[in-house]
Amino acid sequence: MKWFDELFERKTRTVAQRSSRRGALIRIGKLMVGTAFVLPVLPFDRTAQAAAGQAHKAKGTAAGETDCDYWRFCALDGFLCACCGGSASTCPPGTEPSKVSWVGTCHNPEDGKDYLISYNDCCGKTACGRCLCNTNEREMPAYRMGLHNDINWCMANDSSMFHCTTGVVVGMADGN
Amino acid sequence: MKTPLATTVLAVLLGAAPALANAGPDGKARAQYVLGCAGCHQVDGSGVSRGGIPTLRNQLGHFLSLPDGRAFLVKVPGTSNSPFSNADIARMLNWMAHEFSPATLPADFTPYTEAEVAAYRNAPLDDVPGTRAAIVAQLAARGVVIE
Repeated sequence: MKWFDELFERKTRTVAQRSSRRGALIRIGKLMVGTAFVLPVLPFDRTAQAAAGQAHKAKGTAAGETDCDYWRFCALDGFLCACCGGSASTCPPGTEPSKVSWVGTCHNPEDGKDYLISYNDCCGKTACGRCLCNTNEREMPAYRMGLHNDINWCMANDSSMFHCTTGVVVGMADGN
Repeated sequence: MKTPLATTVLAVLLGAAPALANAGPDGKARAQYVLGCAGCHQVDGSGVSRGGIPTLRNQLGHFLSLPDGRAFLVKVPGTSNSPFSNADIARMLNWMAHEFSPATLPADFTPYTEAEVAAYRNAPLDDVPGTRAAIVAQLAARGVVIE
């Protein structure tokens, strides 16, 4: 094994003599800073949504009412009612729409228009638990109380139990 | 339908759904009302009385019959803290007065102007419920009951 020790020592000394330690640090630093802008560094786990989006693209089909990336759900936080016995705009049996809601604007890529969407929760049963989405486009908690998705919008109903969330089209946003 | 025929025809020609189309200043006022207010006050202005959200229907006109009431509709935090400009708020309140409260709108109602809204917004209320109660009491003295 002596020849291996000598070989390793010789190579190590060669590297030490020919390369600069500062240069190595600079290169490692560049690599780390560079990758920070290339690799996703957001502290959110959106892999499931991204995978779902890729699946639609791979299949060549548009996202539907049971997908988080369906255009009407651009600012939705909750369980999709279409996965819970209702639809994108109707509540499942045994629940009633929330009296108050968050209204937001979503862009429909199919016709290129912006629509006003009312995110009414369905209230009266325990949490559905299926198809959890958390898109929250233009959410501004604390700055604008009405634009806060962690609010239980069932608060004004007889039963404030949250079951799932719908996205009802209530108008067009291009008012001019 | 109140939409003029020409507008409807134009909307159809443009491929827009007439029921949803927001053409003209009324359309912008309605779109901003739906975006900023209808989540609680409802698209038709009916509110949720049990949830503490007053109806706007036929109530706005009573408020507009008093100077304090006219100022209150701008100074109330839902309006004054909204993300809309003074011109947007003036347009929206004028639309709301005709849309939700035509029966009680004073005959001499003059539309809000941008400058008037700016003046009200620059003088916010310290005591919102107290101010509202005082206006309701003034109206009650005239025999007008606010829901």
